[in-house]
Amino acid sequence: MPTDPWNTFAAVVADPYTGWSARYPGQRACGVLCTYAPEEILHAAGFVPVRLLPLPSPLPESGRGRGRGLGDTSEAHLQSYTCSLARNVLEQGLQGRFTFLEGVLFSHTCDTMQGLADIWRLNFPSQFVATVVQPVALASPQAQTYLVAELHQFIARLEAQFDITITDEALRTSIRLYNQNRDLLRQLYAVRERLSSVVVWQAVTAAMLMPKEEHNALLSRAIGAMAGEAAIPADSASPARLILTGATLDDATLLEVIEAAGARVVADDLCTGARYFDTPVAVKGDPIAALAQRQLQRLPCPCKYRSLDARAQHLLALAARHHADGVIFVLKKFCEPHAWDYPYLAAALTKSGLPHLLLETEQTTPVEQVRTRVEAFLEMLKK
Amino acid sequence: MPEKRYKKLQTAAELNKLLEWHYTQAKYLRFGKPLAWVTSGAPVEILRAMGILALYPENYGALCGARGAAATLCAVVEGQGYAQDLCAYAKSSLGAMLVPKQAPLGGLPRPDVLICCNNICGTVLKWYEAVARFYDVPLFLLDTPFLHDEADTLPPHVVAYVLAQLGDLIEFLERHTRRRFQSAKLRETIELANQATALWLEIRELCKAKPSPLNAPDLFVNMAPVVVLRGTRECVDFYRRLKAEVAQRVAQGVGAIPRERYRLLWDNIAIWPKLYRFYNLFVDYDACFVVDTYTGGWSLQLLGGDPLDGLARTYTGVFLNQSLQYRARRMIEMVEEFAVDGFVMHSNRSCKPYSLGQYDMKRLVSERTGRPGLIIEADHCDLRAYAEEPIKTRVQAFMETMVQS
Repeated sequence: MPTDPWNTFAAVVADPYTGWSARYPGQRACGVLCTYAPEEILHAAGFVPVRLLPLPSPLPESGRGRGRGLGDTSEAHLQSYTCSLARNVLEQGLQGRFTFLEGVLFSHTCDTMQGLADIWRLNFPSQFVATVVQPVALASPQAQTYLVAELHQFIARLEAQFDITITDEALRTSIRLYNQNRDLLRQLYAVRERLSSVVVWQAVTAAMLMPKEEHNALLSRAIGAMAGEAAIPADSASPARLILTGATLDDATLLEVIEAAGARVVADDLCTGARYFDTPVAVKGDPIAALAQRQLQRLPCPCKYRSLDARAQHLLALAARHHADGVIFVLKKFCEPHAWDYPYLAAALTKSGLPHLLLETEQTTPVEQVRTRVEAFLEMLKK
Repeated sequence: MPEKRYKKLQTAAELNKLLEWHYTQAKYLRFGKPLAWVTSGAPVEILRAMGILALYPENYGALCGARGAAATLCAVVEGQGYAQDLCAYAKSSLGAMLVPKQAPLGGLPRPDVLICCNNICGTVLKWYEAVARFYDVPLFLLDTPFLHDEADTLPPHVVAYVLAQLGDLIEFLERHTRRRFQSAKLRETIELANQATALWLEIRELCKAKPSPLNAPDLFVNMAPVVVLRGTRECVDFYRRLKAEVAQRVAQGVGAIPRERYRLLWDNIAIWPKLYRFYNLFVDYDACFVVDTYTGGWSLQLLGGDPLDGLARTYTGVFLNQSLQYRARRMIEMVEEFAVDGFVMHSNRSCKPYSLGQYDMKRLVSERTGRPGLIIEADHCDLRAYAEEPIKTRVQAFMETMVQS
């Protein structure tokens, strides 16, 4: 009997990096730090893009890394006012957890990632470290031309570094593979109300951590098996319908709390969620131009600028489409771009009569604290 | 009577008058001129050439900090849902918009347009978005891709991108202010800007003298005109007189502090609310900050040739738009050029792009120069992040080590 896809996703997310090479023999891995990473290019270059996330997972047996030696910790490189994503990922790197990566690709997003990219380059001198500097002015008529050139420059670096040639044909194959994954994830979201939110989060997060071919096969099988299945019974007659918005969701605590309280996540606007797979890449024409175009047309993250209300419009439309009862802002402490957007998004939701809750998270947020806040919010929704 | 730790410059009164004129003009003497709010790294020369007035919310944020108003204004903004750890310049400026009566100068006058260039940080975009929503005024973003690679020349596609956006900026300004752009006017403005930045560079170079004629507070206070009035005649005139006074100090062997025994380098923005008190901790040990990485940001010469191409290259290549590897190299050069004995880095909670990487840079600079470094955790505006006694202890320990070695 084949393995249960959901179990595979859960296992991948529970411990994504330990024994990665043994789990996927013959595969080469390159780390990425953002959903804006041009994954198709890495794939066409022969790599599996692996998202570096602050996922809670067991410590490796040996603490020796490629960093500056034993005992080197992220506190020696990053200030205490840096977000947990940057600190934890660097910590894992210094512990040697990412020695299976042949390179790490940064995508210029926020000021913290900008600093982390340079710090990484300095502390892992034997690793291939590159940054694709994404345009911020998405509506600028010049952004497309710039990004195409930036992607070509990145391709040239990959080709020189690894002595390879990345052909348009290979890029088109990768684009098709990634579009298939986007389409499967979209199908998953269409039936997400029949699944536990934890399972959905595991499936989409696993997509960033394992070979796409394998993820596609598993997800396709999992969705196929759902045909004819009934919806999972909710704890209450009409469970509250919630939307989550923020950066990455790094563990399932919040989702478990929400479901234990009888509510349900019906949609999201997260890096480890819909913002990963929205908008397919055009398969016709120049593949690099098509990749660039997708980056400019995607749902914007707060580090990008398209218009003053693009994110609010999206959130309101999402809430209307999914008949949401409330929105939870998942805000990482010290995450500036999302912290900056919170007041205006919250005001837009309030104006539309949509209740919302702000949950500030750190690397380990006490579950009791989350439970108390979420339950109080759900109580309020009932009234 | 104790010896005064500060020798006041004679041009100080003139400086105050000049800045007062700058703010007053924008508020009361506009004579129909459009007003833009611009970031410190925006190519203001284009605006000046079009007869558009420019105010600098960052400079205003520093003013709020220096006058001790930042904490109150930040608290007002935090009450609106803004997180406590967001930039205190930004929050001071937003606070002044919400409660102008509690703000220095009664707040800044309402802008007609906003020009945001992200060559200094990503925060300015979020800040200016908030301002644009508040006033319902148009915002232009000039996107200058960050330079992670230390290349001798800027990547052509980056220059092309920024240059094309400068064309869009001109069109944006013409549309929203009904002013016409003239290339000849821009050349004149760039010439004036270059004169001011050249003088400012020369003034900073004069600090290579022993004793140094200026200390960090002098540099920080006197950088204001080259930031906010760059491209004007008044700015050039001011720096001519300042340079004459500083050169005279050098000629007469007069230092900025009573006795200069140690020469230091400063990294990051000043701690405005404690500008004098903080640097005095070092004066007590006869230590003078003869150079810094911040105030030199406005001493770049705009390149010749096509003026817009020069603007694109200059504003993309600013210090803060370059990698920490580049910045460490510049610091190492400054240590050598200014014969510095040690360096102090302000880990500025408000300013992540400037501060992240400092721990590694400290190691790099010390390894390469053999000079000791000190990191101070504080904030450029918000005194809630300034722990007086621990800072004092750290400064004393650092200076005691230097005295004993």
